[in-house]
Amino acid sequence: MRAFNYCRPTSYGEAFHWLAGADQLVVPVAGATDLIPRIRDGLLRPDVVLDIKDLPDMRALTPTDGRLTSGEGVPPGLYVGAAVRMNELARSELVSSRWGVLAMAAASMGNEQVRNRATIGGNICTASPAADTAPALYVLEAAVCIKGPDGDRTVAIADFFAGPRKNALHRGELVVGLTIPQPPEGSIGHFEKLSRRKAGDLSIVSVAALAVRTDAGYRWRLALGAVGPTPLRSPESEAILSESLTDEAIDRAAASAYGCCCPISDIRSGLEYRQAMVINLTRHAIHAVMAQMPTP
Amino acid sequence: MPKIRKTKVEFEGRIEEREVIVEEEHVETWPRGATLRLVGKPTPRVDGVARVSGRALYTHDVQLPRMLIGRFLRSPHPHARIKAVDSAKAEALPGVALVWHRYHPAPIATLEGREIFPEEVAYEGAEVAFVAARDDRTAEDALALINVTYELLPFAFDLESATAEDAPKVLLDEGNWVSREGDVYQRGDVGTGLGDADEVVELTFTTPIASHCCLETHGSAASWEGDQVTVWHSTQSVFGTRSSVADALGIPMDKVRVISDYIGGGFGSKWGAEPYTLMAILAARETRRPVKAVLGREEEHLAAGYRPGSWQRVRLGAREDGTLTLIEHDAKVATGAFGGGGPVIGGPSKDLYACPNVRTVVRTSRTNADHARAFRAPGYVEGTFALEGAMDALAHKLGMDPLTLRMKNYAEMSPSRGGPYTFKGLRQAYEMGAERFGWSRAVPTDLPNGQGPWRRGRGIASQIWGGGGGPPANAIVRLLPDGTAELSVGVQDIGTGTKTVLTQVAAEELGLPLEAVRCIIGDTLPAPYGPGSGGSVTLASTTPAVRSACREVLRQVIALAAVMLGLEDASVDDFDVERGDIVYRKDPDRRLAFARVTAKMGDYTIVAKGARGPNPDDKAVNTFGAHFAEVAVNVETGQLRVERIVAVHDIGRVVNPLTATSQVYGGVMMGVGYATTEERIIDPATGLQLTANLEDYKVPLVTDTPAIEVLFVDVADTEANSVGSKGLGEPPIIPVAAAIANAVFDAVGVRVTDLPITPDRLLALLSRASNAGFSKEVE
Repeated sequence: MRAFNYCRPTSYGEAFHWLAGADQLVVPVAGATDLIPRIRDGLLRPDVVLDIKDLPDMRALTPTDGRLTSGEGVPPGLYVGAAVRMNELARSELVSSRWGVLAMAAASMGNEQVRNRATIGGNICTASPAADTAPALYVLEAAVCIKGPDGDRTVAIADFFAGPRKNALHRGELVVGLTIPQPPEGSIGHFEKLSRRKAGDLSIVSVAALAVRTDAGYRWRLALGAVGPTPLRSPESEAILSESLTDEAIDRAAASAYGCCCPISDIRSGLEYRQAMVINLTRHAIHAVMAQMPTP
Repeated sequence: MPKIRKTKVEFEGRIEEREVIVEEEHVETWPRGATLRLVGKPTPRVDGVARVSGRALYTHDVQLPRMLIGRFLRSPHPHARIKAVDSAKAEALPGVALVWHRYHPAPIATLEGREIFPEEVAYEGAEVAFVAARDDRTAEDALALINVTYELLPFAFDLESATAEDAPKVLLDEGNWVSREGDVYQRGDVGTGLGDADEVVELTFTTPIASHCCLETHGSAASWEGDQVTVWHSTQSVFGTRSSVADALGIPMDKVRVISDYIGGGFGSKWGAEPYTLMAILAARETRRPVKAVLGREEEHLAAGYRPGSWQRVRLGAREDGTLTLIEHDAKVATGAFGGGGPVIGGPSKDLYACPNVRTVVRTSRTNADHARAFRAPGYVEGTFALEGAMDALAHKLGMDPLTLRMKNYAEMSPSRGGPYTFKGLRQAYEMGAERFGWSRAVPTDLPNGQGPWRRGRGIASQIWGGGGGPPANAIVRLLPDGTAELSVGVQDIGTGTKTVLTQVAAEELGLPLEAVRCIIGDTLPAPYGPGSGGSVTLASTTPAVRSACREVLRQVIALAAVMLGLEDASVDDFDVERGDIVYRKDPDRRLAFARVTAKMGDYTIVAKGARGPNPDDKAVNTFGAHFAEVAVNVETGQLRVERIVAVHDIGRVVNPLTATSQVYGGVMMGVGYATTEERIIDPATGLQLTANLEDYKVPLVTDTPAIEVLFVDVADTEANSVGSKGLGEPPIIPVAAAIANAVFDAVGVRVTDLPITPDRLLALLSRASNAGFSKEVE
């Protein structure tokens, strides 16, 4: 594996100083589960690998009514630092209490060793269409907190994913965390993925469904992974389900989800199988959510 | 005294008559039901602690002072001509000791008749240049500085493209067919078999290219002292390596020492010296420094062999009562640019069932790939998948139970050799497996059918393999003055537990505790010849030699004891060895502790050698097994879960039930991977592998592993050899894929004839079947 320099700044000033260096390729790293194989395979040749794990609040996992609540109008919710690991999310009682769909997604990623290192920031910055936490973050309508030398900004998760391995970061910026609004009490989420092997595998298709509790009933959100250049929401399916949950409606919602997708064939699966599985997994996720609804 | 004799040895499906030097073993065969102290008892590995604590020295672990690291530049194209190589920058890089390639070759440029750096490179990963540098990173940087000019040539990446009418040439100067007519086996007559049949089934199967995925990648390290070279080589054959190294270098065998203390898996892919071995040896001689060259994981997929993919057509004919009248098995394989003949895919069809009319053909083509290598039961894994799948289809067509059909065609005599077996326990294996599995129960009571999208099914498949071993194999035993012993055998332990079973057998024979025997293997210097670990022959070849050597030691000890007991005139045969005592049979009160005799020895060492005797004349020595599989299939997603495998094997006497059971676990897991997830995928447009890593080449994980129940017939094969045991390395992988595919048919009524059984593939079959209104009931 090609040699590189490693630095681990403890202040953002130092980090941005490294990232501003024009004469060398500086790549931020957290868990390194994606970066190191890419360097080994010669796909990326960084001069400096910048470890972000010691930067302030990178490992925070707190309710946003705590000290990390920033700005006006942020609803009470969850703040997840970019360097929070998958297994921390999967095992956090706080996350499971209201954001269970995220815990499920995090628990499905890679294998135990990978989850012990891989971080949520890395998972979204890699911007793989198959990123396991993405569909969950889409239905939770998370916002990505970005810091740069010129200030802070937030980007909706759906605007953060720009294409395979392309994200909305500008040069010199870092993702520092995510804010995730708290779904109302009684909301129900479910995440499911289909892969070739039970563990240590990428999704062929993944689906997250969230039925957000309203006074009138539920407003549905549905997101899919690995079936297009970015994860995606299926607004039409959401509208159908929010209206009705008859078998016919579920069929139409699944068909609409299928209509949103533009999957490809790859070594994990053929195109046709992926398409069939969008319908199947969507329907399955809807039923899984419905199974948890209190009987009227 | 050694004698020259002819003996028959079965190796990977081929019966070889060897003219070998053999000696009398001078031991009595352990009878069936013999009361043995250590043999047959579950025994933890004698080197278990060394392995799990990291103390065991694998080739990868070799670190010598001033050692250089060797690395290869490999062809990024499946077929090309090398026009120029510019290595000036690499040579100038600090820390680089040498760079060798076509235009700056090593002192020896060929290995086993093939150029190491040919002008025409015929597969992705073919060796283009070699660098030795002070460390791995410097070597890698040097490789990046080598500039190669390639002229790209058309390529044929698979069997189909290589055997098409206008196929591109795999090698410019050779035809693509290695054997168009194929290896043919025939008995009886196909026409007669067809005429006699009431029912005929004909199916076409394909199997994927499978990678060995050895945990320890291929590698060697070399160090010279004067004109003698020591080679650490991750190999299944230290003696085979010694020959090929001596041969390649043109130096006498006694100048070459090969060490392979521990091996992280071989599975058929690690034999003699390879290009990295030779380059390490030559670079070490050139630089006067030790050199280590090990392959990376990607190189392991590109240039370290594979089980070839196959195309197979099987036609079976049977009478109404199930009696087979015909087995016709036609196979095609592609074995790479320099591959030899194909594996013995027709082996199971030839020998698993009593059938008068059999014809098997295996045709072999070249492809632009590294050469295929033996891979755990080569040919038999592929051939059994097809034959046993066809048998299942035949049973269904006849309306017979698949197990009954197999019993109906049970071969009491070896079908291809005509004579009897030394012992055949397949019938017991069927019976034990059916009983444990609950085969006769209509539906497994605890696993109801038809709940949700999951459907359950059960299937069986059976298996034949060699594993009888044979001469030559030798052992040396030294008895030390404190009553402990050193056992030296020229084999290696590729992970099967060889060291442990050899120790058990020696301790048993000498009447010593296990701890009092030290077993030295994996080194050509101290040991006389032992066979390579292939064809499941190691245990059956070597343990009789170990017994023989130990028996000779005992003779000498007894002779001394007789003198000490004042029984100078007694015959050696008048004494027994009992619980550490030498006992005069005619008067058991006249006994002497073993240790008292050895204490008398002073610095004298009793040394004895034993050799493996010949195999019995005109009797076939084989191993058998039957696997029962239970699967669940999701009819909505095509997902397949292998839930349970009951594996029963007949390998004669089981020397160590613990390691034998582990061996079956490993074989079944490997078979599950072959059946469900493992597949080398090659991009047709570029001819390059898309799965040359362990992320995309999917070996099963523990979470994908079914419940595996292991049973052994465990009846000593007293005619096979003096220990009564046969090999187990390969048998457990053989029937797995067939048993799973047959269970899938039972579950959902579609016959999967293409491996691996991916969800994608299975769902397509299910939807085709449901569109055609097809169901199991109306097939």
